[in-house]
Amino acid sequence: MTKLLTALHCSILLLAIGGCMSTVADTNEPVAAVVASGDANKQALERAASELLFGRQIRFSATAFTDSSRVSIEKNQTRDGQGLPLNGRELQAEVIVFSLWKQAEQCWLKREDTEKQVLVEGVDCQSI
Amino acid sequence: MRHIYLGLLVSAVLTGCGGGGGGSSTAGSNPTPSQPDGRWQQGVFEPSTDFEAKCEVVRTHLDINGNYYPDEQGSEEDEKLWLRSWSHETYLWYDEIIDRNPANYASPQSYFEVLKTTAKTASGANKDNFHFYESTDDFEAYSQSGTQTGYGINWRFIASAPPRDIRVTSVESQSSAGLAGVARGDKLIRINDEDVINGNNVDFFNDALFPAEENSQYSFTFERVDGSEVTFNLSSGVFEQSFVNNVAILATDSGSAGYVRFDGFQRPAQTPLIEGFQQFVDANVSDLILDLRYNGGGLLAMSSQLAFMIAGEQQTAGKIFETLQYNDQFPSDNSATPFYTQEIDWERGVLTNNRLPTLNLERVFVIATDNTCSASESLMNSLKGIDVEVIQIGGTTCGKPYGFVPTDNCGTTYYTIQFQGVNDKGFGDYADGFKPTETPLYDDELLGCVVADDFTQPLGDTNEGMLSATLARLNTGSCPLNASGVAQTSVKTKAGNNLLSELSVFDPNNRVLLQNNRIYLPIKDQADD
Repeated sequence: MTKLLTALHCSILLLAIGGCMSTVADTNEPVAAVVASGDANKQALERAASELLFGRQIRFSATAFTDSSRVSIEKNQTRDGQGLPLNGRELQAEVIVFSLWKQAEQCWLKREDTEKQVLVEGVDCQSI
Repeated sequence: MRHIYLGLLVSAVLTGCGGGGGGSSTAGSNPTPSQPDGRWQQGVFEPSTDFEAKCEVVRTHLDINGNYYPDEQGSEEDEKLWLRSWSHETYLWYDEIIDRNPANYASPQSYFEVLKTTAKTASGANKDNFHFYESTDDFEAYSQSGTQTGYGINWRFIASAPPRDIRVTSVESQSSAGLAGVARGDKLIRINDEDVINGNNVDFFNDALFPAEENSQYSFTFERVDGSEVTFNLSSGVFEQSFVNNVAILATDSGSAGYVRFDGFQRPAQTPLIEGFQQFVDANVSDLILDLRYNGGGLLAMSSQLAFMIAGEQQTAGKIFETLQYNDQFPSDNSATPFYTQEIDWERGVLTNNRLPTLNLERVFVIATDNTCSASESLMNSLKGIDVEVIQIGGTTCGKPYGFVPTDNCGTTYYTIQFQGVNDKGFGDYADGFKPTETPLYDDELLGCVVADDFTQPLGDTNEGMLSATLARLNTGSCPLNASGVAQTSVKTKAGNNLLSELSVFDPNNRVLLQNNRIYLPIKDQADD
């Protein structure tokens, strides 16, 4: 009887572990994500993006990552006092793309050209 | 897909080193007297690579890819000698730079200010009005594509000196100003309690008009077109700009004309621009009115795409959109931009397989002002170069057939004119801008009508002065009699700008002092000059 109970207990335990593993496997699959609009989320995303740019200043709009998991950035366009671009004849558009991912209930920001990513602290991502 | 070639870089970007950078400033460029000559020998130029990245202060932080800058310990003299040699190698008019002793200048930046031509154009304006520097840290600051920090107001300085006349030209709909109800034509009369028209608090005005940060809050009081007064409390933010506006199909005596106000050759503009032209193609328009009055330029390749959508396959076949001509020390670097016929994947820098819609027009009406600049002028010039008739309605364009590759050294990024764009016929001499006239005589004059910006009507409204005059010219072949009579003061010439003293980008010495929209002029009376 003891052996039976032990075997049953082990089976239940294995099922539970199996179940957990299955769950872990599902949540570990990174999925594209968005965030709710808000100052705290915007600032957290800017901090994460700045880290991926080695400390450079970066500004997102209030709607960044709220309806798409991808946002592209460019260098600030320096303008003259009339509001005209200083460099009005640009030969290249240097675009860097960031993407937002949810994995294991955590939110990750990835810089696409370097494939480096950082954890975005304090942000609740919604998978899409 | 094939890779697109968007132009040749004269010298490597981000080669720099050094400490901090200072940004554009009003630092004087007058020499300090009687300094030792050091290694400077008049007329002898060592290769710039001998001095490159040899910095008085070595940067220790990493670049955007996590690499160290190539800085080595050097001296201020190394930085000046690099500027001198680099200017000699790459500046378009290198042989017009007076070779001055760098030891007589207080900093590399003040020395850079004199490393340019002092020649004048035919109109008497400075030949080189586009000589800038900024800190590389500022140059490497980023923002979301197609966004800008501010209130969403585009300003026009009709009169910069007291009594000032500062108007709202347009408002971004989803910005703080757009949501509050600021409108085109609103004339700024007070910020908080400060009198903008006659007040002296220029630093305060600068801070308020061009906020560097988000959440700057000011109270703006305007006089509306109807004479009423209205006050808005605005907070700065990062807002998305709309570059393609007022797309419409207008009835004309000969059929229909497509109208679009295009405010910037910026990457997010590509899709709405193509969609707008597809509408025109579907409607089988027989004319196009392209409103570039506030388009200061941007991506040259997008200008090429737009020219192709206007002119079509047959007229552009075998032709060059624009050739960039460098100085005669690097003639082999001259590079040609073709007429791009396909959509561009800007994230990857390649042409897609999506063919652009084309109107196949033999003429185009362009609405222009002195804010019509750079890549906008390239468009006009390139169409002229393939014999598409450009009929210009409005004022003289800004006159910027030049460009540069911003180049870092020792923490400062320098902009010095390195190339001139010429069209398929080899023409690019419009440094005084393209001028509308009913009787063009010179290559920088285009058939058209002089008309001032009309702030009393919304943009895109057929009653608005410039659009109304364009339609009249299209329908009758003549300029309307009262075309030049509306708000003529807003049509400025470059020479006219030189007269401005306060809240102006031109100082009394005619030196351009610009950075990130801010105006760095101390307030002073014209009598002091």
